[in-house]
Amino acid sequence: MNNMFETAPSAFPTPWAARSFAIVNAAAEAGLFDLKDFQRVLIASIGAKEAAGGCIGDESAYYDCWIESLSVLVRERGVTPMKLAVVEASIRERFSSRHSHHHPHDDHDAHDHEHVHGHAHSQYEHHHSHEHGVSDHAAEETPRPIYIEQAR
Amino acid sequence: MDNHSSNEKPWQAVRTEAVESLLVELGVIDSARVDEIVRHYEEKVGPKGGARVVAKAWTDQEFKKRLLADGLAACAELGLGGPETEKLHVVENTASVHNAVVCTLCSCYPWPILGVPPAWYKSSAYRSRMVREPRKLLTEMGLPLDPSVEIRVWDSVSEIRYLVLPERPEGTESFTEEQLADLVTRDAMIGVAKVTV
Repeated sequence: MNNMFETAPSAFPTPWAARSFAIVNAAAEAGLFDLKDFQRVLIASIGAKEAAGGCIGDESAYYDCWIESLSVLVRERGVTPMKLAVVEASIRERFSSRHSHHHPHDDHDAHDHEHVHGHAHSQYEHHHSHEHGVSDHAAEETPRPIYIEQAR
Repeated sequence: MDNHSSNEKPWQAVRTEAVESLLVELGVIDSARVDEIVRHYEEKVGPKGGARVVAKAWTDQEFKKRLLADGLAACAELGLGGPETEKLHVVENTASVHNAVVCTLCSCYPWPILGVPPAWYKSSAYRSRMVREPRKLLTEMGLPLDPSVEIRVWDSVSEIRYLVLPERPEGTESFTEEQLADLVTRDAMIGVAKVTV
């Protein structure tokens, strides 16, 4: 995205972003976790990225944090990284052996042409600290602005 | 964008598919429900919901009072709402006070009323600058405010989300509620634009 203030034409930048957004909502609906739990992990993920000098400059950086946060919660709920890695390997395998005969979900993803980073080993590294207490940041009885720029 | 051979899927797409398939296998979620949620946010929920709320507040003083007192209850009167938002605080713009909304830590936003937030709302730049130099940032975003206007910035969090009630533009006295709703933009309800005719 050239201009960060540009308006995107659709709600989600990529099919996987839409899907990961919906999975979080579906899992919360099903009671696997609370949306607030997810938010705490997302805040930590974004905070860690920014603390490390990275920045959320576009949708893809934001949804990277989103999917990493979902991975963390799923792991906390008992899906081991090993299990996840096995399923991922079989998805990659199926995808590359198929090339043009994609599963319906793959049709969109095939257009993404993004770099495939070797993230398998790094996705859980940065969620240990930066648990910004959501309650510190929480609502008071009467909401107050966080910042006021006075009239001059 | 890289045009390398596309027999490799982005890691995020692989991860998403893997998590979905594991959660389906565990009986936690159902892919049909995931499809439904995607469609809901792509097609059904969006700023038009919030625009109806604003237009009604402009034309119905009693509704406006209820909206300012309890945003969620008033939105529910129009059939808007959902489990994602616990409290909605509506802040009204006037000639001397301009309100703008940010989520400093992540991306809290009133989804059921405005849909999913735009990319820039989630950017580090917007989130950090809005609480440091809102006047300058708003000017860069195309909203130069008179120096005599006070800017109040509201930090959206999981427990409380904000909706800006923009000023009704002049020259719209004869407009119907529907015509008014057509004027109201998402950006005006976040507080980074004004409603214009």
